[in-house]
Amino acid sequence: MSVSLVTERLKIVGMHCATCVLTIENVVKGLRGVASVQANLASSEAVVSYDPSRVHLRDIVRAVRSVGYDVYKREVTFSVDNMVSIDDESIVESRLRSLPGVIDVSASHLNKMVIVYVNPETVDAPDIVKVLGEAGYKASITSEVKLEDFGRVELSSMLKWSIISLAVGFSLLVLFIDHMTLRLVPEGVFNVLGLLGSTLVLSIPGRRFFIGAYRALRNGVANMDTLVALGTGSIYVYSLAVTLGLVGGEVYYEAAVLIIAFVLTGRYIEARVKHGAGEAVKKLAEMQPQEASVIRGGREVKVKISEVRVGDVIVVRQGEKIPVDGIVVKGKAYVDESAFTGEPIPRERGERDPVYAGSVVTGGWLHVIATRVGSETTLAQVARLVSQAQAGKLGIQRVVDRIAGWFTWIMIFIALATFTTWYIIAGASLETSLVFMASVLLVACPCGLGLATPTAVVAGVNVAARGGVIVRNVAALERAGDVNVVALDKTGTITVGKPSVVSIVPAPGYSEVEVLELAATAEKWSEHPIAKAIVEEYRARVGSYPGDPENFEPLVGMGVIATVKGETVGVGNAKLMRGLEVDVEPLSGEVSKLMGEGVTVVYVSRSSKLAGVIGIADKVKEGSAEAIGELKKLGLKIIMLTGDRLETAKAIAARIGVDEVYAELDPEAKSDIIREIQKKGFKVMMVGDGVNDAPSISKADVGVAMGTGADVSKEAGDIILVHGNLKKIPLILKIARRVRRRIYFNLFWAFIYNITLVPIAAGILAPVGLTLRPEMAAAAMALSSISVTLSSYQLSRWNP
Amino acid sequence: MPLDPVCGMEVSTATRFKTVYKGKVYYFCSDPCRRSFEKDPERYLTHGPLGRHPSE
Repeated sequence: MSVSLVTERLKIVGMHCATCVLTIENVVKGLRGVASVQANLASSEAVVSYDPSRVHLRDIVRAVRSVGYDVYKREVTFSVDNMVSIDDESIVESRLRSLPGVIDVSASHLNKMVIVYVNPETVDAPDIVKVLGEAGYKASITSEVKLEDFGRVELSSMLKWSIISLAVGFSLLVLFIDHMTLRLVPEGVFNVLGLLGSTLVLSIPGRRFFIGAYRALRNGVANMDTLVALGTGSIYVYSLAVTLGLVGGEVYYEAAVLIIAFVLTGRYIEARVKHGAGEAVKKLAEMQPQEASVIRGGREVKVKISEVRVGDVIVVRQGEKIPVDGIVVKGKAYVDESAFTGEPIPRERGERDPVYAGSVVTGGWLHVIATRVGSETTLAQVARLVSQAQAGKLGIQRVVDRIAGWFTWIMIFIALATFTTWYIIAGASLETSLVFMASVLLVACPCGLGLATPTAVVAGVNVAARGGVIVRNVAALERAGDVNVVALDKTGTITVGKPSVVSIVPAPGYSEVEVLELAATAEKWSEHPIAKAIVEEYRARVGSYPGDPENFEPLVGMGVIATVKGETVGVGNAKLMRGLEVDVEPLSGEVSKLMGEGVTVVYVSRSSKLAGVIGIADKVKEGSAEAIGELKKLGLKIIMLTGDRLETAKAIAARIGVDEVYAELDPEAKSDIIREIQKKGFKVMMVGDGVNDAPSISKADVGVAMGTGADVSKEAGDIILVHGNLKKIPLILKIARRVRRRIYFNLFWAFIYNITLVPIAAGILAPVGLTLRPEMAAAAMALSSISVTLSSYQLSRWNP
Repeated sequence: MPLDPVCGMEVSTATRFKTVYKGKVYYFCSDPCRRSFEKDPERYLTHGPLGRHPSE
């Protein structure tokens, strides 16, 4: 057997040792269909020869990634204006996927975009444009995802043609009724008007179906356009033959026109709803104001947003939108960030606080120095990610697409069988047989099937985006429905992520503030995080910074010794107290209680006498405990993975209801634990910091990154929480479950619909007088897609 | 400049190697010196420095 091998050169990321070479070679060689592989340490490359019919480049890349390396990829985005249906989408995808060098493809007719991940060593953007051109698609390279206005022009032209076709169709219908009853219009005129009307409609508004069918045929597939084209075409040709006197019987011009009119109207309504579903992204894009007030040369001037540069100081007043990401340099204000965090309560922002483009100043004013402008802002990134996600595909959709592909051929076969059965076996007239065949073709369209999944996904992604959850990978949203274990990182995920004072216990004769003042003064010059927490607490309680110590001596691993108002003040652990010969016994009860809660205890002494203790801990974020409670109610097991000490971790876990704790782990160990849980057959969602927890986030079935709001696109994770708070995790699961239910619901009805109506269209009930005329079949088909789309649209209005 | 109570070297007060004993801060040239001191401070305070680094 001769095999044609493809050889590709891959740039490997992260290869730095001789064992790397072996690891990569072994894992790639282990794949079925790989003939040879040679990795080269010096050039960081691997040359792979493989049989493309047995293994896809995507699998090779996945194998390399599975052992901890990555393959250098390039993401290219194309806009393809004549990719108008789901069928086009699958053609484009399968065409590109079979191209050497293409790792993955995601096409969406909703925004007419194709995202291709390629191995730039083998193939590049112009090659892809060429291949698409050969398949009949006009592609242009765009670096930006189109955010606005996709399809608006097309919508209005669709509406226009729908109305025209409906008008012509109903006029012909009136003529037809007259023809059947009063016969006011002579037969010749009736035929000529029908011929003119239907020729007009089929050749102008109906042209898209014939072009689509032709394009599909050229690519060896059959699609919805094929069915419509065959259905109307056969009726039209038959009627023409009757008009020319070649065969006997009735003309069906009005049916041909009405079919086009109904299908077009159906598509218009569908497009309208889909357009509305893309609204979330558009709203995000609209949130960025068009103008900004910038201080230039000491004066405030209004400039276009495109002219704002990083480093400009921008003035934002009450009621205005912040046009850039930046840091507040002056002023104080309440800022509403709900538009992309989903948090309804405005936050107070003052000097040195970060603010984000798209948020609204609800009270006060701010001077903001711009740090990110234009397409770099968090807002723009969020919009881009959401839009890209909506172009993504679910696993179930790939199955449905494949079924739909076969389905069409099967329906064409059934239609032909219907014709043969009626005409040859049952001996019906050519007219009757042809009409039954056309009805089958028109009612058979699997478009409800094809729409069921993507419309529900778009709706789910929108609902999530409104709640401050960015779904980057929609397949992960699908998997989230199966998750039964949620693994949470502790520091920064469950907790705030930095230490703060949680309690102050004064010794007899001291007040809380006195203890705090001693400690804060002594620690004022220290850089230690605990010292900072103490000074910060003092500032929060008293409103100013503490005074300076006269002398300050930091002792690593113990604490500090300082001179405050002539007296020696010690702030530190038990060892420091021993060295200073301070008796800590008076507060030992309180101390052991605090330690049992996982709190770090800091002793404060003055002149060798204990003044009090301060409890320091990484506070649990507001909402964490409620979120965990809610997750448990949804039937999930909650585990905690942390690098922190076991006692501290256990104390927090007990307080917020975590089921299992794994402590003292480094990032790699966290990912190992996830793998072990997966081996036991569980599906794991990992929630953590998008940078430090990247290994475990990528390992999990669903990886959720707690966004810090800084650079959402650079973090690992299938799903990103814009301003990380666990409260959003139950929301993700609820959306995932709801989307899936909606998909199954949609698919179920779409299938039932086809299964029941096809036999009727074929004339099975003709003996009892029940038939489906071709135009009714077309109307029913249009209704089926409209109802599926509306069902998903309803989901996107859901406000959890 | 203070003396390292273990080896007897002169050390800066800016060193990272310090400890506190009976309310007084001691400075060391290195971590081994500090650890030796912390194990048995009285020995060094009564007998004086070793004149060399402790052999651990």
